Amino acid sequence: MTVELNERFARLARAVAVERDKSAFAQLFDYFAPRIKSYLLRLNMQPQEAEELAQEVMIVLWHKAGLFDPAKSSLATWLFRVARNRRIDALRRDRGKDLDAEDPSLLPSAPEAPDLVMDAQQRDERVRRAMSVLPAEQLELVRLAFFIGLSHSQIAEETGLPLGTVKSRIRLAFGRLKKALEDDPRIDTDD
Amino acid sequence: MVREHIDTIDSLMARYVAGTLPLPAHVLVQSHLELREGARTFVSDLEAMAGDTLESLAPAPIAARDDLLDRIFQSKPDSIRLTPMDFRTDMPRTAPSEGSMPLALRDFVGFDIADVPWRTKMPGFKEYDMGEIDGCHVSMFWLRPGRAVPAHTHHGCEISLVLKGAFSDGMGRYGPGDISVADDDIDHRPVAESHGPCIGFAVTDAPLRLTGSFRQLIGDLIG
Repeated sequence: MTVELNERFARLARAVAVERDKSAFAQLFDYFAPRIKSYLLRLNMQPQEAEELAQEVMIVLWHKAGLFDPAKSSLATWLFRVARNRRIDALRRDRGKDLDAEDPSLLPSAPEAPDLVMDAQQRDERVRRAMSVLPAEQLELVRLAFFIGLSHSQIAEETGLPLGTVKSRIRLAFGRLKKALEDDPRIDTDD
Repeated sequence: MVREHIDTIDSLMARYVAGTLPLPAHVLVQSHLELREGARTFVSDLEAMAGDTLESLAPAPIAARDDLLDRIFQSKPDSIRLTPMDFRTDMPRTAPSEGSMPLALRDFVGFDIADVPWRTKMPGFKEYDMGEIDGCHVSMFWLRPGRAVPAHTHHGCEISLVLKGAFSDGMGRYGPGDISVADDDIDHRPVAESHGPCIGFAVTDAPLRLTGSFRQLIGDLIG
């Protein structure tokens, strides 16, 4: 996550949306599809299934890039959300439940309350500063536990650390991360 | 105790962001975010971190890249289902009005507060039992002002979202939009406040979980 990379991705997404630019899309595909697949594999999805779901996410990007708003989030964050939500949908379909019907009144540009609006770049910088507080191995634990969503016992297995150590380290690391965020209060932009 | 409680709510938010909560707990957090604007900032920060984590992963090779690209270029947009959650942390719908349910919860439960088919469990304590969903026991509760919930019969971890009124337990006071997390070890004997009934939504780790589910127990939050 660098500002330059984010800006480049935002430009490419715009070229996809406005000009239906296939080569711009291919660049985004080559960067994101293998990472989305990697994320899904970490969650124990079968390779074939992970690739299909990654493809589904990229199909969303190809057709709906115009709905991505770089002022609200980075492209990585948007695609993470789409991937996560597709995965939840797939799990629900597997269970034969369709409890959450699609919202027909989809209005992505619905105004956010002014006090909630923060420029995505500022948010990303703030979040990056907070994450830099943690030593690499602590950050890795937090990533595995909270953003990849592995259970404590899966992490213990993977790292070879005792379960109790994993739990206390994760709690400590996440506490530090939260404190760093709180100590670096957001600055609202004038939208 | 209070510190532990805050940690637990934080983990709940993070697991919501990661998409690894059982469905009823996912809906509970979504409803909390509708009611509590303040919590959305933290969740948005967590989502930005998740996006950063996605970028940090070692890429997994895509087998037939050119074929996939071709298929994407030939795909039709009408098959795409997007949800509001793809775009933002909370639901881009109107804020719930006084006395009505958060929309995520209303969709899930199928009733607004006024229409819930309550059943009286004991004087001053009504329940709408939704049964087991995604490995959790799910219910709504209605407590008469001043009513204490009798000793719990559940095993495992319980999370509740207060929708109306307030209750207190050994851990603190919970008003509309607040989440309480309790497990067997915690002195959890909620008492509704005296000025009005307390209505809420409760999700409990079911005593018998379906095997093979790789979702985590809510109890994992307490770690």
